[in-house]
Amino acid sequence: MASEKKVVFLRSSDGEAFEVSEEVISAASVTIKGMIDEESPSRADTAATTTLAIPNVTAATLSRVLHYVNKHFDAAAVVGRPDDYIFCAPGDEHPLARFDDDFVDVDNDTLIDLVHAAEYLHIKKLFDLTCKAVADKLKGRTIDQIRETFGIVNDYTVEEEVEVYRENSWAF
Amino acid sequence: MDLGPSLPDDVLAGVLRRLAPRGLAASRCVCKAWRRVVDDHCLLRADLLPLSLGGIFLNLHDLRFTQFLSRPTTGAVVSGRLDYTVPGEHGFMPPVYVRDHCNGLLLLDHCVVNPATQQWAPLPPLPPLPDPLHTEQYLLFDPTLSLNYDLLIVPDIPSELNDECEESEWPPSTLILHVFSSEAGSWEERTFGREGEAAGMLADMVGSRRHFFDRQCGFFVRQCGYWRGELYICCENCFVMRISLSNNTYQAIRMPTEDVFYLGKSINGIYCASIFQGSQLQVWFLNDQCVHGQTEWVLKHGRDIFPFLPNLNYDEQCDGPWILQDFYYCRQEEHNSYGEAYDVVYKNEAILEEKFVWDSDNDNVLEPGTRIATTGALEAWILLVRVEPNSRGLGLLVLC
Repeated sequence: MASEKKVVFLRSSDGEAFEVSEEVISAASVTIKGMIDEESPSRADTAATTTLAIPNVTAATLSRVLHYVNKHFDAAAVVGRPDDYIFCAPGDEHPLARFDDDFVDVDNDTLIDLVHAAEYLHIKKLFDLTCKAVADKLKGRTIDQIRETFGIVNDYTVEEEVEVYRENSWAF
Repeated sequence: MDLGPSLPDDVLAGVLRRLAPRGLAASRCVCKAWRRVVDDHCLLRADLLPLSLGGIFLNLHDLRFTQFLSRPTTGAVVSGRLDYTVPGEHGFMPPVYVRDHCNGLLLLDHCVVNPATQQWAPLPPLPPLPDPLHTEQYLLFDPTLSLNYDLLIVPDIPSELNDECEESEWPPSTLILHVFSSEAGSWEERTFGREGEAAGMLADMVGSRRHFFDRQCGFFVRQCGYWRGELYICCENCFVMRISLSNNTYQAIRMPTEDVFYLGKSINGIYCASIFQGSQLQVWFLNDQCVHGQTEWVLKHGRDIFPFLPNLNYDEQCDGPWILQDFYYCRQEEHNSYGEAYDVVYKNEAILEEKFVWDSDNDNVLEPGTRIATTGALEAWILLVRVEPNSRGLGLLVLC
């Protein structure tokens, strides 16, 4: 089908445009598929390419997201399951498990940007992957270490803190 | 990195829902926004954790099946009946024997079962073992960290010396142990390396099992505890083996006393309790948070408990609020001496309908201080139990 070869441009919040196959991004991102479907009546049977504004995602993050999406799409094509893009779940035995591990092996700010982007673009497997990576950074940490790592201010009063510690005392 | 107020609740919930209950409990304490997200999304189901005592399974030494001692409680009622795990003919209630337990999960011969939820999973056959009679199986489960469980087979100290092991240390510098992981669903052999010194020479320890057996008043008491991913096993020659599954290492830790002792897990970790001279109670805590990285036993309590001991008078029956769920495991239909079939209905004592509040601070069945005679050693086993997880008091369960 002709439509499979179509490309779309995604414009990041800081104005950079990225080209991506419409088939790939539609399969990966529920949000962008919705945008394309909205646009489609006006662009039927035209050769004009579409540019979609992604106001919540910076170029640096969008570039990473598209790298992830393309890599997973290609891998799915290689294993001959084009209908199942198998954006693999964390922990699965998967040819891209190593790629995924490296993908989220980034600094905290980059990781949080990816969580935001995955949530906004509605890319479920990327959201799962990045959320798990953040959760892994929380595991085994003390409460003070968590606050320090993630820049969180303790807003409990002394009495409230005593109470919440008491409620969860079994865990410490 | 800012995970504070700017992060939408749904995104934060997406992160936090991937944490085990212990991590969620810590997250609730971080700030109000995190507590709200955990609570609004019902991420932490502490009510499903084994944080209260539903009862005690008893392996009495002359019975081939396990009995269940329960308390009337305001919480969910737990039944000690486990026969639903045994496939077979209708009406047949086979003997069910609990081999081990860990944080509310039970190990039977053929399966692992949670008596609170009545969920159970069959186990694959044991791997071939060189000396199956001299091994112990241990169940490892901590639902605050993971819903997966492991089984570990640990060899005893060899019962006889041969020429090869005469000069050997125990425990050896590496041990190959069989581990079953519920996540993988299969047994595997894993090599564990010893950290630190051995407990001693094997030649000195062979036969100590017998000695240990005698000292425990004729009963072999299995002593172990599972705490924060590490299994503590009391070995016969008065040392504790700490086995860490996360990094495949183990350590031999000397005991603080040579008296008869009980090893177990309680609120802050691993404890050891001993009674000597009849009523002198000592309780040690295994502290591995020392600055120099060593583990050491810290004496937490040391006193004469004689004044608190109840009168253990076997002629008087004391009916407390504990209930023994008494099962007779037998065929429903049996034949009498004339060949006539008759029904045997097994007794299954009903759990009281009334709901009581179980207050572990006021839970004495026997009145203290009424003991009338002492003949040296205690006539009852005194088990130190963690009666209520949030109670820092000392619970003494006296089984007569």
